[in-house]
Amino acid sequence: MHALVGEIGLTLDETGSAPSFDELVLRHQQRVLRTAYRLLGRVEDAQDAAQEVFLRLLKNLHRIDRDPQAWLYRVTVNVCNDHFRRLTIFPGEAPREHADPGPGPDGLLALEERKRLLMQGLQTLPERERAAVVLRDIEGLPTREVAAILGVEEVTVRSQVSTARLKLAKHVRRMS
Amino acid sequence: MTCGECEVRMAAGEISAALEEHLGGCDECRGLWDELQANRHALRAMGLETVPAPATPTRPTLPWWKWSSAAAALVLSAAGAWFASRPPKPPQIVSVDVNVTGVVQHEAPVVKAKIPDRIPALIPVASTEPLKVKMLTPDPDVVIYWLVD
Repeated sequence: MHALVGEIGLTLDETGSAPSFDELVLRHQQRVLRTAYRLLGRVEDAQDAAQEVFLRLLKNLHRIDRDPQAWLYRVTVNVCNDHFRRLTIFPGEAPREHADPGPGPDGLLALEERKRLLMQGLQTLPERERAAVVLRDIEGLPTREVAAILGVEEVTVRSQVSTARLKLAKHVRRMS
Repeated sequence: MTCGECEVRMAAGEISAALEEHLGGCDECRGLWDELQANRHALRAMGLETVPAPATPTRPTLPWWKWSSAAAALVLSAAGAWFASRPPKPPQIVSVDVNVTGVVQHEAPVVKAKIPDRIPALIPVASTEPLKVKMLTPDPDVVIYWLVD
Protein backbone atom coordinates (compact mmCIF):
# COMPACT_ATOMS: atom_id res chain seq x y z
CA MET A 1 0.00 0.00 0.00
CA HIS A 2 2.78 2.42 0.92
CA ALA A 3 4.55 1.61 -2.35
CA LEU A 4 1.38 2.49 -4.20
CA VAL A 5 1.00 5.69 -2.24
CA GLY A 6 4.53 6.72 -3.11
CA GLU A 7 4.06 5.67 -6.70
CA ILE A 8 1.00 7.77 -7.40
CA GLY A 9 1.81 10.59 -5.00
CA LEU A 10 -1.37 10.28 -3.00
CA THR A 11 -1.74 11.45 0.53
CA LEU A 12 -2.71 9.04 3.25
CA ASP A 13 -5.91 9.72 5.12
CA GLU A 14 -6.20 9.71 8.89
CA THR A 15 -6.54 5.94 8.96
CA GLY A 16 -3.19 5.60 7.16
CA SER A 17 -4.58 4.16 3.94
CA ALA A 18 -4.45 5.53 0.40
CA PRO A 19 -7.70 6.85 -1.03
CA SER A 20 -9.68 4.28 -2.93
CA PHE A 21 -10.75 4.79 -6.51
CA ASP A 22 -14.20 5.86 -5.35
CA GLU A 23 -12.66 8.42 -3.00
CA LEU A 24 -10.55 9.79 -5.87
CA VAL A 25 -13.67 10.08 -8.00
CA LEU A 26 -15.50 11.95 -5.26
CA ARG A 27 -12.52 14.24 -4.73
CA HIS A 28 -12.01 15.15 -8.38
CA GLN A 29 -15.41 14.57 -9.95
CA GLN A 30 -16.57 18.19 -9.91
CA ARG A 31 -13.28 19.44 -11.30
CA VAL A 32 -13.47 17.00 -14.19
CA LEU A 33 -17.18 17.60 -14.82
CA ARG A 34 -16.81 21.38 -14.73
CA THR A 35 -13.85 21.40 -17.11
CA ALA A 36 -15.60 19.01 -19.48
CA TYR A 37 -18.76 21.08 -19.36
CA ARG A 38 -16.91 24.29 -20.25
CA LEU A 39 -15.06 22.54 -23.05
CA LEU A 40 -18.09 20.76 -24.51
CA GLY A 41 -20.95 23.09 -23.63
CA ARG A 42 -23.50 20.42 -22.65
CA VAL A 43 -24.01 18.75 -19.30
CA GLU A 44 -24.82 15.37 -20.89
CA ASP A 45 -21.65 15.41 -22.97
CA ALA A 46 -19.64 16.48 -19.94
CA GLN A 47 -21.04 13.56 -17.95
CA ASP A 48 -20.12 11.13 -20.74
CA ALA A 49 -16.63 12.62 -20.92
CA ALA A 50 -16.22 12.39 -17.14
CA GLN A 51 -17.16 8.71 -17.24
CA GLU A 52 -14.50 8.15 -19.87
CA VAL A 53 -11.91 10.09 -17.85
CA PHE A 54 -12.54 8.04 -14.70
CA LEU A 55 -12.56 4.81 -16.66
CA ARG A 56 -9.07 5.74 -17.85
CA LEU A 57 -8.10 6.60 -14.28
CA LEU A 58 -9.26 3.16 -13.15
CA LYS A 59 -7.20 1.48 -15.86
CA ASN A 60 -4.08 3.58 -15.24
CA LEU A 61 -4.21 4.04 -11.49
CA HIS A 62 -1.10 1.92 -10.99
CA ARG A 63 0.86 3.90 -13.58
CA ILE A 64 0.14 7.47 -12.47
CA ASP A 65 3.32 8.59 -10.78
CA ARG A 66 2.23 11.95 -9.43
CA ASP A 67 -0.75 13.89 -8.15
CA PRO A 68 -3.68 12.69 -10.25
CA GLN A 69 -5.10 16.22 -10.55
CA ALA A 70 -2.82 17.31 -13.40
CA TRP A 71 -3.21 13.90 -15.05
CA LEU A 72 -7.00 14.20 -14.79
CA TYR A 73 -6.99 17.70 -16.33
CA ARG A 74 -4.82 16.47 -19.22
CA VAL A 75 -6.99 13.43 -19.88
CA THR A 76 -10.14 15.54 -19.57
CA VAL A 77 -8.87 17.98 -22.20
CA ASN A 78 -7.89 15.11 -24.52
CA VAL A 79 -11.18 13.26 -24.06
CA CYS A 80 -13.16 16.47 -24.62
CA ASN A 81 -11.16 17.39 -27.71
CA ASP A 82 -11.91 13.94 -29.16
CA HIS A 83 -15.53 14.28 -28.13
CA PHE A 84 -15.83 17.82 -29.51
CA ARG A 85 -14.58 16.70 -32.91
CA ARG A 86 -17.28 14.05 -33.06
CA LEU A 87 -20.05 16.42 -32.05
CA THR A 88 -22.19 18.11 -34.65
CA ILE A 89 -22.79 21.65 -33.52
CA PHE A 90 -25.82 23.07 -35.26
CA PRO A 91 -25.65 26.81 -35.95
CA GLY A 92 -27.68 28.79 -33.48
CA GLU A 93 -27.95 25.96 -30.96
CA ALA A 94 -27.08 27.46 -27.62
CA PRO A 95 -25.41 25.32 -25.00
CA ARG A 96 -27.84 24.29 -22.28
CA GLU A 97 -26.97 25.90 -19.00
CA HIS A 98 -27.88 24.15 -15.80
CA ALA A 99 -29.51 25.95 -12.90
CA ASP A 100 -27.07 28.08 -10.99
CA PRO A 101 -27.81 29.13 -7.42
CA GLY A 102 -26.73 32.74 -7.78
CA PRO A 103 -26.46 35.47 -5.17
CA GLY A 104 -29.63 37.42 -5.96
CA PRO A 105 -32.05 38.34 -8.71
CA ASP A 106 -30.60 41.80 -9.44
CA GLY A 107 -27.05 41.04 -10.54
CA LEU A 108 -27.96 37.52 -11.56
CA LEU A 109 -29.54 38.33 -14.90
CA ALA A 110 -26.58 40.24 -16.27
CA LEU A 111 -24.11 37.71 -14.96
CA GLU A 112 -26.14 34.76 -16.21
CA GLU A 113 -26.53 36.35 -19.62
CA ARG A 114 -22.80 37.02 -19.79
CA LYS A 115 -22.03 33.44 -18.77
CA ARG A 116 -24.40 32.15 -21.44
CA LEU A 117 -22.67 34.27 -24.08
CA LEU A 118 -19.27 33.18 -22.82
CA MET A 119 -20.33 29.54 -23.10
CA GLN A 120 -21.39 30.23 -26.67
CA GLY A 121 -18.12 31.98 -27.36
CA LEU A 122 -16.07 29.15 -25.88
CA GLN A 123 -17.55 26.73 -28.40
CA THR A 124 -16.38 28.94 -31.26
CA LEU A 125 -12.73 28.94 -30.16
CA PRO A 126 -10.08 26.61 -31.57
CA GLU A 127 -9.62 23.68 -29.19
CA ARG A 128 -6.19 24.75 -27.91
CA GLU A 129 -7.36 28.28 -27.09
CA ARG A 130 -10.52 26.88 -25.50
CA ALA A 131 -8.57 24.47 -23.34
CA ALA A 132 -6.08 27.16 -22.32
CA VAL A 133 -8.70 29.72 -21.28
CA VAL A 134 -10.85 27.12 -19.48
CA LEU A 135 -7.89 25.90 -17.43
CA ARG A 136 -6.41 29.38 -16.84
CA ASP A 137 -9.47 31.62 -16.35
CA ILE A 138 -12.24 29.24 -15.26
CA GLU A 139 -10.28 26.64 -13.30
CA GLY A 140 -7.83 29.30 -12.14
CA LEU A 141 -4.68 27.23 -12.69
CA PRO A 142 -1.33 29.01 -12.93
CA THR A 143 0.15 29.42 -16.41
CA ARG A 144 2.96 26.98 -15.60
CA GLU A 145 0.51 24.24 -14.68
CA VAL A 146 -1.64 24.87 -17.75
CA ALA A 147 1.47 24.60 -19.91
CA ALA A 148 2.39 21.28 -18.30
CA ILE A 149 -1.13 19.91 -18.75
CA LEU A 150 -1.35 20.95 -22.39
CA GLY A 151 2.27 20.01 -23.12
CA VAL A 152 3.26 23.43 -24.48
CA GLU A 153 5.52 26.31 -23.46
CA GLU A 154 4.27 28.90 -20.98
CA VAL A 155 4.63 31.64 -23.58
CA THR A 156 2.32 29.68 -25.85
CA VAL A 157 -0.28 29.43 -23.10
CA ARG A 158 -0.08 33.20 -22.47
CA SER A 159 -0.57 33.87 -26.16
CA GLN A 160 -3.48 31.42 -26.46
CA VAL A 161 -5.20 32.79 -23.36
CA SER A 162 -4.82 36.41 -24.53
CA THR A 163 -6.19 35.60 -27.96
CA ALA A 164 -9.08 33.66 -26.44
CA ARG A 165 -9.94 36.51 -24.05
CA LEU A 166 -10.08 39.01 -26.90
CA LYS A 167 -12.22 36.71 -29.03
CA LEU A 168 -14.59 36.11 -26.11
CA ALA A 169 -14.87 39.83 -25.35
CA LYS A 170 -15.65 40.61 -28.97
CA HIS A 171 -18.16 37.76 -29.11
CA VAL A 172 -19.99 39.04 -26.04
CA ARG A 173 -20.05 42.61 -27.38
CA ARG A 174 -21.31 41.44 -30.74
CA MET A 175 -24.03 39.20 -29.32
CA SER A 176 -25.27 41.42 -26.47
CA MET B 1 0.52 53.46 -27.44
CA THR B 2 -1.66 52.32 -30.30
CA CYS B 3 -5.06 50.64 -29.88
CA GLY B 4 -3.52 47.38 -31.16
CA GLU B 5 -0.77 47.45 -28.51
CA CYS B 6 -3.34 48.39 -25.89
CA GLU B 7 -5.54 45.44 -26.88
CA VAL B 8 -2.67 42.96 -26.51
CA ARG B 9 -1.68 44.31 -23.08
CA MET B 10 -5.25 44.37 -21.83
CA ALA B 11 -5.81 40.77 -22.87
CA ALA B 12 -2.60 39.72 -21.17
CA GLY B 13 -3.57 41.64 -18.04
CA GLU B 14 -0.44 43.81 -18.19
CA ILE B 15 -1.40 47.04 -16.50
CA SER B 16 0.95 49.98 -16.91
CA ALA B 17 0.85 53.77 -16.71
CA ALA B 18 0.96 54.00 -20.50
CA LEU B 19 -2.01 51.67 -20.75
CA GLU B 20 -4.05 53.65 -18.25
CA GLU B 21 -3.19 56.86 -20.07
CA HIS B 22 -4.40 55.36 -23.35
CA LEU B 23 -7.60 54.07 -21.75
CA GLY B 24 -8.31 57.54 -20.40
CA GLY B 25 -8.49 58.97 -23.89
CA CYS B 26 -9.87 56.07 -26.00
CA ASP B 27 -13.52 55.08 -25.55
CA GLU B 28 -13.17 52.05 -27.80
CA CYS B 29 -10.35 50.55 -25.74
CA ARG B 30 -12.08 51.59 -22.49
CA GLY B 31 -15.17 49.63 -23.57
CA LEU B 32 -13.09 46.58 -24.43
CA TRP B 33 -11.32 46.85 -21.07
CA ASP B 34 -14.65 46.89 -19.23
CA GLU B 35 -15.77 43.88 -21.25
CA LEU B 36 -12.59 41.97 -20.44
CA GLN B 37 -12.96 42.72 -16.74
CA ALA B 38 -16.60 41.64 -16.66
CA ASN B 39 -15.72 38.46 -18.54
CA ARG B 40 -12.91 37.74 -16.12
CA HIS B 41 -15.36 37.98 -13.23
CA ALA B 42 -17.93 35.79 -15.02
CA LEU B 43 -15.36 33.15 -15.96
CA ARG B 44 -14.22 32.92 -12.36
CA ALA B 45 -17.84 32.54 -11.27
CA MET B 46 -18.26 29.73 -13.80
CA GLY B 47 -15.35 27.98 -12.14
CA LEU B 48 -17.26 27.85 -8.85
CA GLU B 49 -20.38 26.28 -10.29
CA THR B 50 -21.41 22.71 -9.65
CA VAL B 51 -22.19 20.55 -12.64
CA PRO B 52 -24.73 17.76 -12.04
CA ALA B 53 -22.98 14.43 -11.70
CA PRO B 54 -24.30 11.48 -13.65
CA ALA B 55 -27.01 9.51 -11.88
CA THR B 56 -25.04 6.32 -12.31
CA PRO B 57 -22.66 5.12 -9.58
CA THR B 58 -19.34 6.90 -9.36
CA ARG B 59 -17.41 3.85 -10.48
CA PRO B 60 -17.63 3.82 -14.27
CA THR B 61 -18.86 0.64 -15.86
CA LEU B 62 -17.29 -1.02 -18.85
CA PRO B 63 -19.29 -0.74 -22.06
CA TRP B 64 -21.46 -3.81 -22.63
CA TRP B 65 -19.54 -4.88 -25.72
CA LYS B 66 -16.37 -5.09 -23.67
CA TRP B 67 -17.65 -7.14 -20.75
CA SER B 68 -19.93 -9.32 -22.86
CA SER B 69 -17.15 -10.30 -25.28
CA ALA B 70 -14.84 -10.99 -22.35
CA ALA B 71 -17.50 -13.14 -20.68
CA ALA B 72 -18.16 -15.03 -23.92
CA ALA B 73 -14.44 -15.66 -24.40
CA LEU B 74 -14.20 -16.91 -20.82
CA VAL B 75 -17.13 -19.30 -21.22
CA LEU B 76 -15.82 -20.64 -24.53
CA SER B 77 -12.32 -21.21 -23.19
CA ALA B 78 -13.68 -22.93 -20.07
CA ALA B 79 -15.88 -25.19 -22.20
CA GLY B 80 -12.95 -26.01 -24.49
CA ALA B 81 -10.69 -26.83 -21.56
CA TRP B 82 -13.36 -29.07 -20.03
CA PHE B 83 -13.92 -30.87 -23.32
CA ALA B 84 -10.20 -31.41 -23.89
CA SER B 85 -9.58 -32.67 -20.37
CA ARG B 86 -12.36 -35.29 -20.37
CA PRO B 87 -11.03 -38.82 -19.67
CA PRO B 88 -11.61 -41.29 -22.53
CA LYS B 89 -14.84 -43.21 -22.03
CA PRO B 90 -14.06 -46.85 -21.14
CA PRO B 91 -15.60 -49.48 -23.41
CA GLN B 92 -18.89 -50.65 -21.99
CA ILE B 93 -18.93 -54.30 -21.01
CA VAL B 94 -22.15 -56.25 -20.49
CA SER B 95 -21.86 -59.62 -18.80
CA VAL B 96 -23.97 -62.50 -20.15
CA ASP B 97 -23.89 -65.96 -18.52
CA VAL B 98 -23.94 -68.72 -21.10
CA ASN B 99 -23.84 -72.48 -20.68
CA VAL B 100 -21.31 -74.16 -22.88
CA THR B 101 -22.88 -77.41 -23.96
CA GLY B 102 -20.04 -78.81 -25.99
CA VAL B 103 -17.24 -78.21 -28.39
CA VAL B 104 -17.35 -79.45 -31.95
CA GLN B 105 -13.96 -80.11 -33.43
CA HIS B 106 -13.71 -78.80 -36.96
CA GLU B 107 -10.94 -77.00 -38.75
CA ALA B 108 -11.54 -74.32 -36.21
CA PRO B 109 -13.08 -74.94 -32.80
CA VAL B 110 -16.76 -74.03 -32.59
CA VAL B 111 -18.32 -73.24 -29.27
CA LYS B 112 -21.92 -74.23 -28.77
CA ALA B 113 -23.62 -72.06 -26.21
CA LYS B 114 -27.10 -71.49 -24.95
CA ILE B 115 -27.74 -67.81 -24.74
CA PRO B 116 -30.22 -66.89 -22.03
CA ASP B 117 -33.59 -65.66 -23.19
CA ARG B 118 -33.34 -62.56 -21.20
CA ILE B 119 -30.29 -60.34 -21.73
CA PRO B 120 -29.77 -57.39 -19.40
CA ALA B 121 -30.88 -54.17 -20.98
CA LEU B 122 -27.97 -52.35 -22.52
CA ILE B 123 -27.21 -48.94 -21.26
CA PRO B 124 -27.48 -46.44 -24.13
CA VAL B 125 -24.07 -45.32 -25.17
CA ALA B 126 -23.56 -42.01 -26.87
CA SER B 127 -20.20 -43.09 -28.18
CA THR B 128 -19.82 -44.64 -31.60
CA GLU B 129 -17.42 -47.23 -30.14
CA PRO B 130 -18.60 -50.83 -30.71
CA LEU B 131 -20.26 -52.45 -27.69
CA LYS B 132 -18.13 -55.20 -26.19
CA VAL B 133 -20.10 -58.12 -24.67
CA LYS B 134 -18.21 -60.32 -22.25
CA MET B 135 -19.64 -63.86 -22.18
CA LEU B 136 -18.80 -65.85 -19.06
CA THR B 137 -18.80 -69.64 -19.26
CA PRO B 138 -18.83 -72.24 -16.47
CA ASP B 139 -15.21 -72.89 -17.29
CA PRO B 140 -13.31 -70.07 -15.65
CA ASP B 141 -10.60 -70.45 -18.27
CA VAL B 142 -13.04 -69.71 -21.10
CA VAL B 143 -14.32 -66.15 -21.54
CA ILE B 144 -15.81 -65.02 -24.80
CA TYR B 145 -15.80 -61.37 -25.95
CA TRP B 146 -18.42 -60.27 -28.45
CA LEU B 147 -18.15 -56.98 -30.29
CA VAL B 148 -21.49 -55.57 -31.28
CA ASP B 149 -21.50 -52.71 -33.78
